[in-house]
Amino acid sequence: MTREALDKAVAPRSLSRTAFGLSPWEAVPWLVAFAAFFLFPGYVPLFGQIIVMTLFALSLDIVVGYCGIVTLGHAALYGTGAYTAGLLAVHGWTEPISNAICATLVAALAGFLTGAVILRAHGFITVMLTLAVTVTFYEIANHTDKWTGGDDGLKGIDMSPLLGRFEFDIYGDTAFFYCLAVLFLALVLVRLLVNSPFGWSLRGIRENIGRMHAIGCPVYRRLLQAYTIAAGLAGLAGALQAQTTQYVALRALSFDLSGDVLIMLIIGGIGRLYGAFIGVPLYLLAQDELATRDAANWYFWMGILLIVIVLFARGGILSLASRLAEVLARRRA
Amino acid sequence: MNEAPSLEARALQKSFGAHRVIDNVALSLTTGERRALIGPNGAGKTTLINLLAGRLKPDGGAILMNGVDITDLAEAKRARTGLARTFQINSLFRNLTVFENIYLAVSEQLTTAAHLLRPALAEEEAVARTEILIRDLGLASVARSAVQLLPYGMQRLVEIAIALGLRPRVLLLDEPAAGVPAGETGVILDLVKALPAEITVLLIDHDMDVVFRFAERITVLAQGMVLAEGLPDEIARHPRVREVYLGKRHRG
Repeated sequence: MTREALDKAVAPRSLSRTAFGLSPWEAVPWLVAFAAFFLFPGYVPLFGQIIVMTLFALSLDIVVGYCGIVTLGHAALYGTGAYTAGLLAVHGWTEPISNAICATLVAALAGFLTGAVILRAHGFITVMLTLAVTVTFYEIANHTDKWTGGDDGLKGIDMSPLLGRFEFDIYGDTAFFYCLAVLFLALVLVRLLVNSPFGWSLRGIRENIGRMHAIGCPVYRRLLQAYTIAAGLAGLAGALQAQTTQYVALRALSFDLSGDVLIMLIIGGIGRLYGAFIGVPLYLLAQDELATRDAANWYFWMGILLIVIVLFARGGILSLASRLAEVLARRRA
Repeated sequence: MNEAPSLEARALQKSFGAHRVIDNVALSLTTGERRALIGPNGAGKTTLINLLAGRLKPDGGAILMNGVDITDLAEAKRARTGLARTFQINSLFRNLTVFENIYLAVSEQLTTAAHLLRPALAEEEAVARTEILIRDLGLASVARSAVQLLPYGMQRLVEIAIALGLRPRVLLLDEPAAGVPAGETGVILDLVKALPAEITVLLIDHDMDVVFRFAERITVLAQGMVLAEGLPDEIARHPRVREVYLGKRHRG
């Protein structure tokens, strides 16, 4: 194989290809969102949930996909954001944007503090620690039921109108556009982040942590920074959830939810920025559809789908799509 | 001249369990020196490199760079003070391209790697320095290829390029041509020989032709101890060295 041919044949999970310029494909999620809003008005509340979970999964992708840290504790941060937003609202701080910013900061702080411990460990121990953090947070919320409502969940969240003008209506229209706008801003931030030298160094850590030490990278500090940012975004997703559903369930802090969001991300494809945008809608729409058709067994069908994806599309649907595109491009060439 | 040695080890000790791998090793390299480290398999050469680079902590002794004690400095901090090393077995970012591999080192050295929101490719100095290295090492044609798809000889060049991306004052090369087919080692050896004169180089290699052509001084390690140290022809004549190490090959 000549070098030129080699160059052409190679399409690695490369950094530089995506560093500059926007692909037209990047408009697709937003076009789909707008189309869905107008075509299926009855589903708008579900779409709102999908947008929130996409933000949550996007924040998880920073940790799992870019840093290469497997965590079962991401719900701890999401739940921290949700309870912070909910409790502030219940006690009178009902302005949505500043409320969400507070929740983001509190979750980021929680991420910084727990991350400082978790990130000192490696591999299997890390997974165990993230699990321990989730269980601890869950039990704290469960035992402080005087404030959090415990098992019954936190009720009585009633947000002021968005920007002082747009009421959170029962159709979920305001919530839909509010969440969509926040997701867009978050994506812009994460996209900048993963294409920056900082983001590249995270991928270096994922690929070969030993060599990163050898080239002088302060690995622990980098990971802690990334983990803190991801925690803030997870908390922001939790805040949106609390604000738009006016309720926080204890499940927001559960190991269950941590696992679910990880599955959604794996289905879509990790470390690819847009994995969350594929995996989350697919999972939640399938859940909605299967739950109405075959309520008893829908989780079984989800399991089958997951097995198929892990076996035949390792790297998720996005990696399958990009491999297909490569094959087609080569055939045309 | 009273200038402090570029790199110095004093009475280094390292044991794995009951097995003493490095036993009272002293080493002193002047700035810009070309030093070879040789010794039979299991002599402790790679362990010594790992101690010098900070991957392993010594049980005793001290390591100094330009007279400054760096014994307690973590590996990453040593790299930031200008101590770079390569690995006997490739330690690359296999899914990333050649450009990206080298860029990671360059941007750490420039400290631009901490930038959060600027596109990596907009960091002009980091990009320029990466491209210069790629050109100097003859890797331009494969700059955009994933490292894992390159022939092994080229991967070895990337291994060295990453270390050079750190603009080292001291460079530790652990068998740079290891595993490369005999016909292709020339490129790597030319590169090693053409390293900037101000860099202090410590080279481990098994190929005696390479060692004797490259080194100004040679240190021989055997069973974790310094068996001999001196000019190449002193080492070549050293009876004990001939016996434990050179003899086999040179008689051959």
